[in-house]
Amino acid sequence: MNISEMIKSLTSRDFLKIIAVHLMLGLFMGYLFFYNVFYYFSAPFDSPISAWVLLLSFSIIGVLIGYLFPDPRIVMASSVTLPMTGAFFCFLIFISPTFSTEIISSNLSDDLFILARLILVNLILSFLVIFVTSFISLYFFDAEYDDDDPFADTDN
Amino acid sequence: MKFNDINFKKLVWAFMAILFSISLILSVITAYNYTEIAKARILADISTEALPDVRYDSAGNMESVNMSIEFTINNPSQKELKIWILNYKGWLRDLPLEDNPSLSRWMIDGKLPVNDTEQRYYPVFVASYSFDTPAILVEPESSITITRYIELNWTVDFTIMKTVSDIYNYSNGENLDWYDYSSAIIFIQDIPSYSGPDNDANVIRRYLGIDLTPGVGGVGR
Repeated sequence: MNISEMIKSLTSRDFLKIIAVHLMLGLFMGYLFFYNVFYYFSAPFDSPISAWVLLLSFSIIGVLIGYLFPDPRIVMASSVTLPMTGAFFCFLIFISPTFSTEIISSNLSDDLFILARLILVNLILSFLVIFVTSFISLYFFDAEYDDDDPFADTDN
Repeated sequence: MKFNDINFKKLVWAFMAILFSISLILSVITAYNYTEIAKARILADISTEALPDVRYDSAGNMESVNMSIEFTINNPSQKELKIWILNYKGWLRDLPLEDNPSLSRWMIDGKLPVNDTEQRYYPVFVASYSFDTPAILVEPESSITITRYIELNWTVDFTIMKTVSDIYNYSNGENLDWYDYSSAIIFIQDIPSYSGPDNDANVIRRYLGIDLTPGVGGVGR
């Protein structure tokens, strides 16, 4: 694939589909991460989340990824990028008090390290669960994909 | 198993869109709630005004020292706060001891560096007030003032009263400086107890001034 073809594929409908899925599921994951660590700051629920609910949520995300993107390369990349997107949204919620005009912002780089330490287990767990369940769903949905064109539309 | 049915794919996209919408709403609500909790923890403050009232009998001898303390707790957040403990300590500037360091005191004076000098303060009042039942709540975006009185006289504590009387007599009854220290422990309502890595996510601690004589008692209540 040369550069112009690569650029064309990056702006293709299917690549934008990947971005959309990442944003949608990433926000959901980000909320889950934040809720799992800071359930007492969350609303409207303030009781701890059980482990099986967390695992089930990650599994559903993995199944969705495996179904929507029938390419092992995209699935593998998504199992890394989705938790990172979730961590980003979780960080946005974590630093939301700094957006208030009444609170003088604290050191954001310190906040980043504090949050990273707190959600590290969630990140690793989500990567593992999504990785496994997405490949399982790839197999079950009997995906068809084109090695040369990973963004080929397989709907037709 | 093939699942290439267009309708099922649309269902999946619709499910993700609903999940995204719900997540967005919950995230915004959570961010708002977290911000208000952060505001309570950072911006809630306490101020204290302590007014001593020295009384003399008809012969001009000191009869009593009444301290009126007003604690004002300000809550700028949208969370309700519950006051748990208010502490107050009051010291009287000990000019006789500053002029004559060999003077002995039953209780240890506190030292306060001011500019290039060291002022000495005699511990007079130590009071702690807890408010479990009935609970005292500070409504969102409001303040509350709690007033307490402590009386020192010859019956309550003869030793402290004698020292205070000696200090006032040394200054010929002139107004002397009082130094105050107060502290508060306040809870944020709606947050479970024992939450967070340090088990204190719902606790606000505030300190006003310096405790010149930690662990030293005085007259309270």
